[in-house]
Amino acid sequence: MTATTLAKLPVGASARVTDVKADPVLEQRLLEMGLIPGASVTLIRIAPLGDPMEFRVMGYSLSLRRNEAAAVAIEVLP
Amino acid sequence: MNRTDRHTVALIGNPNTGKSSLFNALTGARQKIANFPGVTVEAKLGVLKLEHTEIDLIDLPGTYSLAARSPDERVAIDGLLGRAKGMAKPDGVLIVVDASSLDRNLYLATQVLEFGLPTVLVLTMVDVATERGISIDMDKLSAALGAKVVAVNSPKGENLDILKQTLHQTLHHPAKPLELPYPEDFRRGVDTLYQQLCDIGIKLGYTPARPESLRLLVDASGPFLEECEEVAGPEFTRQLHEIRDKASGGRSLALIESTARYGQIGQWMLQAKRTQNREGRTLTDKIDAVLTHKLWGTLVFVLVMGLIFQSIYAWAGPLMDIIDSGFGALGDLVGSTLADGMLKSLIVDGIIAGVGGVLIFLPQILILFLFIALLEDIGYMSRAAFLMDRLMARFGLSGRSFIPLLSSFACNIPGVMGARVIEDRNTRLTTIFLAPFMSCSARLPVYTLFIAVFVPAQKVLGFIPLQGLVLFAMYWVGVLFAIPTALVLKRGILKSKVTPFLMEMPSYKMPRARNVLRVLWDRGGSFVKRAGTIILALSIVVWAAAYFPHSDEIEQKYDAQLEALQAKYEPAVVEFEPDFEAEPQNSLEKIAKAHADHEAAIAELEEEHAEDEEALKAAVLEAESALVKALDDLRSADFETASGQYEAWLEYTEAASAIENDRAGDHLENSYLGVMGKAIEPAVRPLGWDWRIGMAAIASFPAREVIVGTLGIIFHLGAEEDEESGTLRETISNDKSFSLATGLSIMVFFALCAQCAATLAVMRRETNSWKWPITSFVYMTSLAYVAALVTYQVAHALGG
Amino acid sequence: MLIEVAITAAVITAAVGFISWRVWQTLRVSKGKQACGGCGACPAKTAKP
Ligand SMILES: Nc1nc2c(ncn2[C@@H]2O[C@H](COP(=O)(O)OP(=O)(O)OP(=O)(O)O)[C@@H](O)[C@H]2O)c(=O)[nH]1
Ligand SMILES: [Mg+2]
Repeated sequence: MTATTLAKLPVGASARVTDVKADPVLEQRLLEMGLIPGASVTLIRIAPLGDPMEFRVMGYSLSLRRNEAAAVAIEVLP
Repeated sequence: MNRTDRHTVALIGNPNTGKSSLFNALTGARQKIANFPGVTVEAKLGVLKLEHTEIDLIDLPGTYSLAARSPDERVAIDGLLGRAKGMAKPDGVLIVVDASSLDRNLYLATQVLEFGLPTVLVLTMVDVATERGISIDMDKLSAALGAKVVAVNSPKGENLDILKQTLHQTLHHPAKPLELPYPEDFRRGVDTLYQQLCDIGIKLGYTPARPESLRLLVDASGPFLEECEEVAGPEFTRQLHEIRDKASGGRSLALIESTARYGQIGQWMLQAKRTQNREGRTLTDKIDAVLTHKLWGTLVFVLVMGLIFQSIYAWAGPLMDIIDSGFGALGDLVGSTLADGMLKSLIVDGIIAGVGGVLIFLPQILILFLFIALLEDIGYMSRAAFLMDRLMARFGLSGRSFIPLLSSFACNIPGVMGARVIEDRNTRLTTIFLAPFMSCSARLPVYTLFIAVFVPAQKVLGFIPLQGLVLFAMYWVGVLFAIPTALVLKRGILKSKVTPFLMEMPSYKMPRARNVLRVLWDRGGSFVKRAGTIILALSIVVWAAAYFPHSDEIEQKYDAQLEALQAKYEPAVVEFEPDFEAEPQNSLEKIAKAHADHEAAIAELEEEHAEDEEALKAAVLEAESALVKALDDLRSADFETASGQYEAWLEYTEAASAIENDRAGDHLENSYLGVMGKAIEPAVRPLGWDWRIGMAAIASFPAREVIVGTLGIIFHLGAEEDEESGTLRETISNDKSFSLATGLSIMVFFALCAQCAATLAVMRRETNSWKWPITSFVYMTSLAYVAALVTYQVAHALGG
Repeated sequence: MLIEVAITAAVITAAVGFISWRVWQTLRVSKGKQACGGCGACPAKTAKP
């Protein structure tokens, strides 16, 4: 298990959220959308131009910009 | 008589969960439904009639949480709390929940249930959930939430009756607020704050509900906080910070709230939800693998765009011709029944030319809307935003700006309003400012008219039709000017930090024929209604300005000329009126008929051999010798005299129609419109326009498509038609003052100008100041003028 | 002839009246006092409260 952020997750890999740290508004948004500590996330794809990224969390698809994804600390699941 | 209860019930839920679909199904309203988040941005009222009960349903914008940040979310929360203008406080709630992402949808549900209003939880998209192997035990869910749960499918109309019954019963029972297991410190913080709020409530003019103090505790900013700080002063702010510190225990309050909620939801789900075959790829995943692919995605995008613009030409043409000839026939009919004069001119030159000139573009508008409706229903809009976000970021905009801007291609007004989904004020203002740059459907008539006239129907590279390509290019003109505008705004007065993108990607859905047909019916209907109301009224006014004063002096002058002309010819010539349908009686009629037949034959041949010049020449020669032979056969005693009379008659009719043309032209130039036009002509000359185009452009200030109608009116009035009424297209292509350069300059002008009163009014409302619409109008008009000027001068220099 | 003038005058007056009414409505929309100016640009029909 390696600790990193969502922005660095390879396509197809899954991870578990450990922490969310951003400015209060973004932080609250991310939490509300289901990125709470303990939630599992999969990176489905990255847009052709390299940003944004599409994740699967809580059974739905959420797209985040890379800098937003960087606010979510994760541990990569094997 | 039975007493009738009256209730107000709000529809609240996450975006794109089917609230408006349900609202429409229950009330018979026609709110816009589409498959992307952020369709509804206003609160809308509708009435649901039950036995002994009437319920005012409020359709609200979607929101993920009661912590509102963007204006559309604020509308949703104001609606729930009964603070929306003109709407009563709801005494019941329908929480609309997407069963295919139940966990996240329940987050908002827990927030709403804490208010303790009578509530029914409505599960939608159960079909999608089932497809993904999710099954929900509704009894267990209902027991956990302490609210009734009903599953519906509004597009199919399933279970609506059960929902109505359940809602009816629920409204008559008191409800208990949901209690969640928050940490002790947090709960105490909420309680303390609630005490304070009740005091402040006196100054606020309403009693806040307990869950509102939770929002005040957790949310770092928001309208409610601002309001409280304003009425309660800095002392309150200080105390709030103290309470927050105590309640948080060093952790983030937002984290405490969300873990408490999701923790509870997770426990419920263990009981109430079963998921099978999680690993299988869903249909949406498979489609996305293609549509968001680097190569295939781009290819599909280009193909779809090409198809749209091509079909606007290929399919609309025949339909337009039908409408066109319909109006032509109507004009001829009225023309032959009414006596010459003011009233006939009003109907034929004003109303039929003006309204008909606009109405013939109905097929194109419908085709455009057909494609937009399909793309919206399938779920492509969000994918387009996903693909383009990076580019938008480069211009300082968020991917969230993308969907409002995309909807602006249908009409700028929903585009301006759609910007409500954007949280950041400056990004929102930039988006509102850019929306009118997108070519809305009202510009389509202007483009197609001038493209049809000036752009030859050839193919580029052997397969791409040039006309469709030029139309496509016109749509890019606005976009190309929007980009530097965005850069300047975001660097300058509307600077802001990057706004969160954070977008849910809806699953693909099969477009519903009924929904698409209804969109077409509504859009077609409103286009026709518009033509029949505001465009009709404007046409009448334009006609009046272009007809009056219609002075007697001018009449007399040309009457005298006509008399002088008639004096030169024998009465037999002046009075001769050949009827080519009837059997010719005397030599003159026979000769005239032979010539008329010959002309008709030539026209037919020209059409037949349009491709082959050699064959045409040969056929014409043949036809000419046939005419000579026919005339030979007619030789009789009075043939020479009759021939002479025929020649004289040709000469006379030509001279007479020249006089009538001059008369009409003179009247027009001396009309109010003409005099004004002459005055402004110097200003539009550099754009390659004459005064008629200039006046048409000014008359179209309230609505762009009026230019087409106005040109129709001016051309009708400015020339006494000799033959059957030609279409505006033909008239323009025969007019000497129009060239390709002029056509391009008009199109560029209309691509960039802000000629739409309704859009400007909505901009005022959304920005709450006249500053933005006025800036927009001045900026866009100057831009349009300069761009049209450059276009004309360059095209003219190149010989266009 | 006279009746023709009368009809035309009535039509023009009606048109001008209609346009003024629309201008007034548009202004009301811009102030947020009314949701929709009935410009026909959007299909949503607002149900009466
Ligand atoms: N499969 C399926 N689709 C549905 C159902 N209910 C609604 N839809 C579709 O879901 C999409 C969204 O519907 P809307 O009614 O516009 O959703 P909304 O909640 O009003 O969306 P916003 O106004 O953006 O918040 C549309 O494409 C509907 O046709 C359902 O029960 N099953
Ligand atoms: Mg909606």
